[in-house]
Amino acid sequence: MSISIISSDGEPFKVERKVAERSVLIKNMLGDLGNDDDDDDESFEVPIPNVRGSVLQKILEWCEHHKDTAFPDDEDDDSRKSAPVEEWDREFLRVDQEMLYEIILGANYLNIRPLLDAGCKVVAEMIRGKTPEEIRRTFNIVNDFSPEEEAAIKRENEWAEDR
Amino acid sequence: MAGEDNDVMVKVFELAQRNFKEKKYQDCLTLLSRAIGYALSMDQRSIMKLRKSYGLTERPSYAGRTAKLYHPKLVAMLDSRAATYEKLKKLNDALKDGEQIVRVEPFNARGYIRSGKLLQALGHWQQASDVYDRGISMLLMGRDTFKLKLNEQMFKIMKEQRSIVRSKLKDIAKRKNGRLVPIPPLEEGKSKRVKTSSTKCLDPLNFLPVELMHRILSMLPLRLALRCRLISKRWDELIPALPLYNDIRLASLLSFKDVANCFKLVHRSKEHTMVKSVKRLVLPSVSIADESRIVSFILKQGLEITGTLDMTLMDITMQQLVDMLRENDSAVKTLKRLKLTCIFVPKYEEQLPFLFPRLEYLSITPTPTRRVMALPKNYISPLASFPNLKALHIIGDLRKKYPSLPFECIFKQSNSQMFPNLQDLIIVGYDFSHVNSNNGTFNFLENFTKLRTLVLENNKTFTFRTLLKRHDFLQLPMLTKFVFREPETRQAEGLQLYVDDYLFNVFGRLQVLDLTGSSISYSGLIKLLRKSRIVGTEYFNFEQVSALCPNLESLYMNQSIGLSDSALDDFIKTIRINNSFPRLRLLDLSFNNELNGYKLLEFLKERKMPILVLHGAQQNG
Repeated sequence: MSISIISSDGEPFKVERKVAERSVLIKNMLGDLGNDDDDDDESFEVPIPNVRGSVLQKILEWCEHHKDTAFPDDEDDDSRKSAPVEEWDREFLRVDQEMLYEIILGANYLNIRPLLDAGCKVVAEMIRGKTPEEIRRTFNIVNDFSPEEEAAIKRENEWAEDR
Repeated sequence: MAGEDNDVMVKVFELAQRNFKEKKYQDCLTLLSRAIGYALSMDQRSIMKLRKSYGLTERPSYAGRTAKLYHPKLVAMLDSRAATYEKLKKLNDALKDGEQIVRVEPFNARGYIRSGKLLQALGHWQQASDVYDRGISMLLMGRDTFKLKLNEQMFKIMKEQRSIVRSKLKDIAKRKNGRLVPIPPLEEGKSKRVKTSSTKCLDPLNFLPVELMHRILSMLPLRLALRCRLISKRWDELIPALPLYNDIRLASLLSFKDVANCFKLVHRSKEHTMVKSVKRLVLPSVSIADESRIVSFILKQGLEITGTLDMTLMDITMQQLVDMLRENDSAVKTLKRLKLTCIFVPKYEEQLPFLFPRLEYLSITPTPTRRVMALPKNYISPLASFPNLKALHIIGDLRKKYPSLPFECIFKQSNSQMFPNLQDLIIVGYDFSHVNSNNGTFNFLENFTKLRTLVLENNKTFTFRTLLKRHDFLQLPMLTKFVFREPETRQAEGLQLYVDDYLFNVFGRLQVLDLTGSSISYSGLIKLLRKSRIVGTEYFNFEQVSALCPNLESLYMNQSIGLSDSALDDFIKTIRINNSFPRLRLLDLSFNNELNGYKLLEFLKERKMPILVLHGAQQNG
């Protein structure tokens, strides 16, 4: 059985069922179809209406690489959050910010939790260890606070700051 | 109740609209803010009911089971208020409402059009373009994925506005450079790369919906997530509303005002949820003058602490704390872990398990203080059993004299059933002479047959020998980690009297053995493990240890008297011949000055050790 995933701009991607099933959304869709692996002629089209071709291609590249990876199925938030991003994933996510955000959106929509977590961690790393001014530069954001407003927020945050 | 509130709200909204028509914008604003306040304070169940009474489904098709629901009129009201702000020339406030509409109804074009037009008016062309891009893709997604009806007219407006903004952006670029943007080189692949690499810096808020921003920010410690409020007004509006406040670690030496600020945010983020709880609260020492005010303020917040409470108190005594907790016991009735540093008042700690019926972990450390708290007279220890408690850590400081040990009753009584399921017992830095002299039988370990971890460290008048001697039939079949450290190294006289069978009951399952500086350090073990004492020969039978603790994974033998090169030779031999200690992964040989680096290399050749700890050893070779 082969799966054809179709992006929002109509581009089809042919993949193995195992690869496609890294997406829980697609897995659930295919779940009802039974497990007829022998029948090679059968082919299914899965339209993904809100992920564009270039992003879908990237996401499927990740699925292909991780098709045999066993991800821990734990709901333990703390350990999931503290685990570092794997080296291959980090390299894979070294893309421009727009693509990164679109991968995150796509992983969220397709329900690929390990990729979603990795993407979110990469964005979180862009924030970690930076001053607000450095973060603004990272994301090209204009500071629209007056010095007084800034001081007021700092005061409100005092309780959480290390001394 | 919700129904009446809703009727009032609808009337207020109508009145506001009339005011708007009559150009009484200030009055209109006040009324709208009141109506919006009503709508936002309504709980989830009432909103579900209300949606039904408006002929809607209980929750929108795109909202997951856990997504927050909003009042069906909220968007209309926010949109009106944005228009009112516009009339009052408060464009930034208007923009905030526009952005909130997007968050409340992400598939409604209204929010995007409102925010986009305001951004245009403010001259933020790029942001306006981003907003329209996002609006258009969201509406298409709503139509395709959730079968929502696409409002063609609004969709058209968005597209028109976007093309206006785009041409404006081109104009600006032209003006800036005085000419057109240079045309990229012909090869398409290459030009793409140039465009995408590092030059594109984009605010994630323009791309990612609130729940994904929450996911990102929850990867950071709360302190860093809060610092992001300083990035821009939009970030500052987003962050306090996110449910990030389940793990609160306060900074040290805070004043009352700081703590009040913290809880203001916590309450704001929990405004719309029914569950008013936090998972963990860490309160290090605060400003002493405010301490009791802060602690009682926290307990009176109506917030339940469900996981861990970690408090360091310098002024409040255990007795005062017990009284405070008694008054506000709903805040802690489901607490699982309590780590407490405060001025110790003997016997009052015995009240703690009553206040925390679900407690699994309890750690008590007395605050260093000159005050000596007396034992209450005629106090009778409560006869109670707390089967939930799995871990008890009592951390003292031998240099300070404490009048007694916490939970002394369990060390004096045999057959105490107070903590029948204890798995983890740590006692550090106490003088046992008090227990000892008071005809204490000392066989307290028989009260804890389910122990997995036992740490006895730097306790006075309590040696390894006394431990074994007092326990005639000690059985700890679950024990996997045993740490015994004494303040002064002593000889282990008489230990050889114990036979292997007996020791196997204690050590049979050990995975971690830490004998740092104790009387069962290297030379002690020799005596311990030899049935008959041969005077003058320092022969250590590692094979015997291996047979005794076959599962050992970690062995700490620092400051071990008599541990020398020849001992290591024996170790190598027994590993080579008998494959002893097959599971050993950690070996700590710190502060053993008789050891030689070459011998160690030889040892490592025989057995690779993933973790080898060597502090303060003479490093030759």
